[in-house]
Amino acid sequence: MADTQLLKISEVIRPKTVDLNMKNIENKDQAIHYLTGLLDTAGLIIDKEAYIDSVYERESMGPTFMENFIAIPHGKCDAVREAGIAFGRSKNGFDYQTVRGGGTAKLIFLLAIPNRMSGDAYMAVLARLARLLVHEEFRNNLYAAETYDDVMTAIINGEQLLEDLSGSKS
Amino acid sequence: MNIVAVSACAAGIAHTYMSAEALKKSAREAGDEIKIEIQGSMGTENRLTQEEIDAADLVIFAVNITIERRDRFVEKDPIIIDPGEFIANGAKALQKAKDMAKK
Repeated sequence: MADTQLLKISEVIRPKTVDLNMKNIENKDQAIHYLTGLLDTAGLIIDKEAYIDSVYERESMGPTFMENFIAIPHGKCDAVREAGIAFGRSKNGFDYQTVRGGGTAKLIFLLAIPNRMSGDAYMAVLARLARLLVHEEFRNNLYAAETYDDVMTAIINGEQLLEDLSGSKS
Repeated sequence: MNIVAVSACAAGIAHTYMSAEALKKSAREAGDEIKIEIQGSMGTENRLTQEEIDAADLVIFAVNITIERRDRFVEKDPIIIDPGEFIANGAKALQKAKDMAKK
């Protein structure tokens, strides 16, 4: 996996694609549309509708709800200009149902990956994010974050933690 | 306890890695040694050797699909638990695996 780790989470979450106080979001559809809007505002999306179609195509293939109030929907297609991750936090949470199970989501990461990027690089960034979110300390840092910089600090520290853990694996 | 495990989830790569990470974290916190082979869409990562499998006190399959190279475990009695259980509560799922192994 060494050559596919170039894409760091901290490099693809931009100030414009983070909202720590999502309001008026009551379900998954609203969240996906809202976060797609953030990605679009940041200039990462060529065609919003085509991108959303790719997200729902992935949704139809399996659950993206990850327990612990976390959801990670994602889409890879030609309608994405540059790789990006939108991160939204909802204080009270919203309903997030999938083809198999679901629940209340409070932390949602929407990944947008251009088709030209290798499948492995895409899977690698998704895998890293998923691994990070296992750690309660990381999740608590995301809940406590007050600014974009706080989110970045949490992610950079988290990515370092993962590297340290990998280095010491038995 | 010396544990080896395989993680593979039908739901996709994120669930596969998340269950593996949760299992690893829980095992470390419980003072166990663990190595986890991840079978995902990027291929197999961290492949278990026959020696590692043979030396294990406990074999856990955090899987809900058929794993590859199952024949390596023919001498073992793997405990099979859905990866979702590790994602929801790693410590609880690990304890469940240990309890099941005692029976």
